[in-house]
Amino acid sequence: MDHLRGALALRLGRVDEAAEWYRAGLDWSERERYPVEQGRCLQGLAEVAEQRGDRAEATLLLDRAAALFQEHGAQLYLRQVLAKKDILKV
Amino acid sequence: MIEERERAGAYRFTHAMMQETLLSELSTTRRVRLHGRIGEAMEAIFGPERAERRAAELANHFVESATLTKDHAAKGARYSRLAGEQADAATAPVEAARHYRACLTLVDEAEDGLGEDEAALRTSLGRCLRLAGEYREAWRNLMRAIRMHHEQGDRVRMAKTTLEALLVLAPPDRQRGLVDEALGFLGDADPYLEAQLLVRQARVTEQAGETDRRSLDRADELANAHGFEDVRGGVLRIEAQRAADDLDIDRAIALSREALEIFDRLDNRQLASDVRFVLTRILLFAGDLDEAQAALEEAIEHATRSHIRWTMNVFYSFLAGIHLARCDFNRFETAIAGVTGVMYMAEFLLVSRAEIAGDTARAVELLPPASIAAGVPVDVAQVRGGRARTLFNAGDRDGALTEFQAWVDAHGLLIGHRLFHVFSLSCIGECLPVFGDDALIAEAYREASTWTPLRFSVSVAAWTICAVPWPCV
Repeated sequence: MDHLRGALALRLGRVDEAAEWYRAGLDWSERERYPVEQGRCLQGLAEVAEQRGDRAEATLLLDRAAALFQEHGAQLYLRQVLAKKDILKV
Repeated sequence: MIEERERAGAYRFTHAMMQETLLSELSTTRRVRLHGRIGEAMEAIFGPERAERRAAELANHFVESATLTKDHAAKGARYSRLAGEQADAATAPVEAARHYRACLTLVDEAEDGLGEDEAALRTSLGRCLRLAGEYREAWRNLMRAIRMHHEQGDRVRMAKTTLEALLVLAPPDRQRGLVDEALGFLGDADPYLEAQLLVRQARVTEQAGETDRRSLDRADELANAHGFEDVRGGVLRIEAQRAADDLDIDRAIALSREALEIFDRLDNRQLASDVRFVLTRILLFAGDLDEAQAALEEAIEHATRSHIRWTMNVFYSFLAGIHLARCDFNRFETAIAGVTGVMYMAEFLLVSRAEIAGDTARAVELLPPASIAAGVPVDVAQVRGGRARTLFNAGDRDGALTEFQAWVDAHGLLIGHRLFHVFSLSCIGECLPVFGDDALIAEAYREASTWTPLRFSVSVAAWTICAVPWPCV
């Protein structure tokens, strides 16, 4: 649910609140060994970093998400992350 | 062709094919006569008590020879019923249903019912079919039994059969009609059955998204006055569900455990399994996956031992959801293989599995049709939401938008039921920020921000509670 909350907060422009939801989701999903949710929260935090103008941080977070998706065979999300990294490069 | 067995005078075919070949070569008339003679001989040799104990064998011969005489038909019906009862007592519902069906076929064909109690047979058959997961036929038989009891003016048996029918998954409005009719017909004839029906009435009302404090209070009053422990357990189960609906997760877990203790102590396996369903679902939403997994493994063991197919399927689906969340695909496959028959939860999990693997085309192929929601708003919202997400992830934005608009309509009907909103929003997931307008997003965010006890839902658990079909209609 934290991932959804973060996405909704971002859509409303509430970047700080979004970051809080994503961090809470990341803590929980790490504790519960839920890699897809971990990766998606990292994707969300990358979005937050990008909106704050920190592209380097965003790229680092996407790399962490990509590693998780790669390790666990979550190809759909891996493709999304790689596409986003290409956009960031531009 | 035949060989002598150890016991004097006993023979058997050297190969089963020989028996089949010889049987197929007999004319129908001769085969029927032979079955009749074999049945009579076995009955004479066994004597009444042993014959009853070996009812399944005798049922076979007398059912096959039922067209010979009325006496053969009556014996076919009687031994089939006895065999059904024996299998039923041995918790073998599939076998029991086979015998009850055979008995009912003979009863239907006879003009005088062969001295059998058709309504009781249909109730027994309905129960066994429900346990075996044959909901549609279970429902039909139970409805017929209820009508028969009504026509006979038998208030108590009508109430009992109604309680049995209410265990079959059915749309809330159908269930509500049944329970209202049974309560009206029962009057004050039996306080225990009245209390049980009141619990069911409250539950059905709550399933429809309304509250029914009056029925629950009256049931609790009767339970306390007469010491009906299982009624008290039923009241606790509804209160647990209500606490879950209010997102008071700790209270919901405590109440579920209290209800579970009662049903386990009373060895009421059906209701114990049902409460395990409530409890494991709450544990899942609370996000303690290890605890939920342990509870699910225990629940599967309990449901398997009790031969309760529906909850067994649900528990396997929940467990598969956890394994999928953890990307433990081997365990996911094992758990999903535990689901038998049509179970839409499992189908949606397979959609998620294909999506995670990146095979979005396969995910779209696996998507169940929107019609499976059968018009029940919470299910329509979940199915449409899930379809929107899958189509969106597959790059079909137009298709996703169409589903999204259907989701918006269904979601709007869920006002006042917080947990249904959680289910609905969980299923639409990432499509909402993409397609939703500002007002919808703001409202969804306001709501979602109040659900802080809930964690595990998006993308996986949502499917596991999604789209329970109404297989009886």
